[in-house]
Amino acid sequence: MRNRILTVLGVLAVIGAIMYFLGIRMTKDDLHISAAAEPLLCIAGKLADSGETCASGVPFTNAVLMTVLVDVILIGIAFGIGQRLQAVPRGFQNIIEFLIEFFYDFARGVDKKNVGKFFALPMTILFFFLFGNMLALIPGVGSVGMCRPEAPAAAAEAGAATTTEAAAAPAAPLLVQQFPAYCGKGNLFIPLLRAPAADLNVTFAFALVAVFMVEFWGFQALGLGYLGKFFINPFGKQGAIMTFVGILELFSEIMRIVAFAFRIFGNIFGGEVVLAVMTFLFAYLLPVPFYGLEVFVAFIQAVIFAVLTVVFAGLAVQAHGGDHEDHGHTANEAVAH
Amino acid sequence: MDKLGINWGLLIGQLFNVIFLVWLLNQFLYKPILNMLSERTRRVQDSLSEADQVKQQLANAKKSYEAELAKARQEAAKIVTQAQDRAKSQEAEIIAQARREADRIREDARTTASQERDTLLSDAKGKIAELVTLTATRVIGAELQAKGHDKLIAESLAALDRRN
Repeated sequence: MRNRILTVLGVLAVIGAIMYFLGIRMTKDDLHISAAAEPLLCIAGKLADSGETCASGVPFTNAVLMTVLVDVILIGIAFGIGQRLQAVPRGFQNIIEFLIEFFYDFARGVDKKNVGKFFALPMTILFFFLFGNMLALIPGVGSVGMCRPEAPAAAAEAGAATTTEAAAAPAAPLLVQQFPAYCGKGNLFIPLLRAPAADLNVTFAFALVAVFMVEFWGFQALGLGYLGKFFINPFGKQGAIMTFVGILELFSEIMRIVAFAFRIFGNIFGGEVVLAVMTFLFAYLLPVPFYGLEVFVAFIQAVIFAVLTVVFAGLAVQAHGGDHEDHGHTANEAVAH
Repeated sequence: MDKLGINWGLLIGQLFNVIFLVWLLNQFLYKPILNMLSERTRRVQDSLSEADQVKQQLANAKKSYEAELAKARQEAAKIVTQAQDRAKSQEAEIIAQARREADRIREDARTTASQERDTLLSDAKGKIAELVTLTATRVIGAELQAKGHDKLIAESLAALDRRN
């Protein structure tokens, strides 16, 4: 078994090296990195001159397309498995059951009493990002797309550069640049699909919902006493320092939105950039170890988002140390002020 | 904002997507699966406890069966002993009776035999007296008086008696 894997890897390495030296490789012009999801088309509007954003209307980005794809897969799972459950599980049902049961047990470990209430959101976060991140690693996602003329200014600049370079040394085009579908210089490559987590709109949407729900559950469990976690009477028995800590807590509560959104965005988008750069540096061979790393990151980031949501929810519904009455009182005072 | 690609329209759309997804998956995936998992746990527990119960029942049945068997065995042994005792006593009785019978028969035989001998003896005495008389008559003849006859006969009989 191990021998066979090594053989396959060796053959692929040789094929990769041959293709690399034949001229099927990335050039600097092909390396296009955009933190924003590129619009495939603009609904009720038109593209900006740069070709990377919509001048007006709502953009239908590649991340949106991927989101819809992941949605379709998840809905398919819900109706294909959730609605056709068998008492004796078989095949894919096992995997879904395992994921749900595993995470449910974890969530129950965090808060046994309220797990039924807040289980659905983190589980959905886990499923969505797990499937989204993993699907984004399938070859073709992010590498199949369309060409669009680059911004006139940039194109002019590039053109100027070309003329000078061409005058200096007219390099023969790489083999890949002669392919019919090759975008070429002065054109922008727009991938058809993009990892949902590599679009801040998606991550911010999840982060907003997660943090909003955490605060909501906090208020639901503790009433106005929940505010007592943040507004602490400086002349009370907890002291002035705790007042300051409470304000910090409140600030961190708000910053969680940003932290949630940028943590998974940074990891997934960064991973894509790393893969692109590695492919640019030495195609076929160098990206392979990073690919393994990205699979791990794709999994762990989805888990982290979900687990943190559970933990924050568990923290929010727990009464803060000290007696409850006092908190309610302080909270009322705070509201009154 | 533009560089990061944040677009209010998209963000709101994604927010609705999140809410929709959470609701839908909760309704059609998590709830059924969690229900089924707890149902399965319940069923497994049920069947385990049922198996325990059945085992217990089986053990009880075996115990009572064995007790019954032991009781039956004891009963049988008792019956056999009783039968043996009875047989022994009956045997002794029968033997005693047989012995008594034998004694009686022997006694009877003895009396009959002695009676018979007595009869024979008296018959023989008569016959012998007759023969003696006859012989004596032949030998002595008429010389002897009738009065001497009786004396002689009595002497002979007495001699016979003595010999017997």
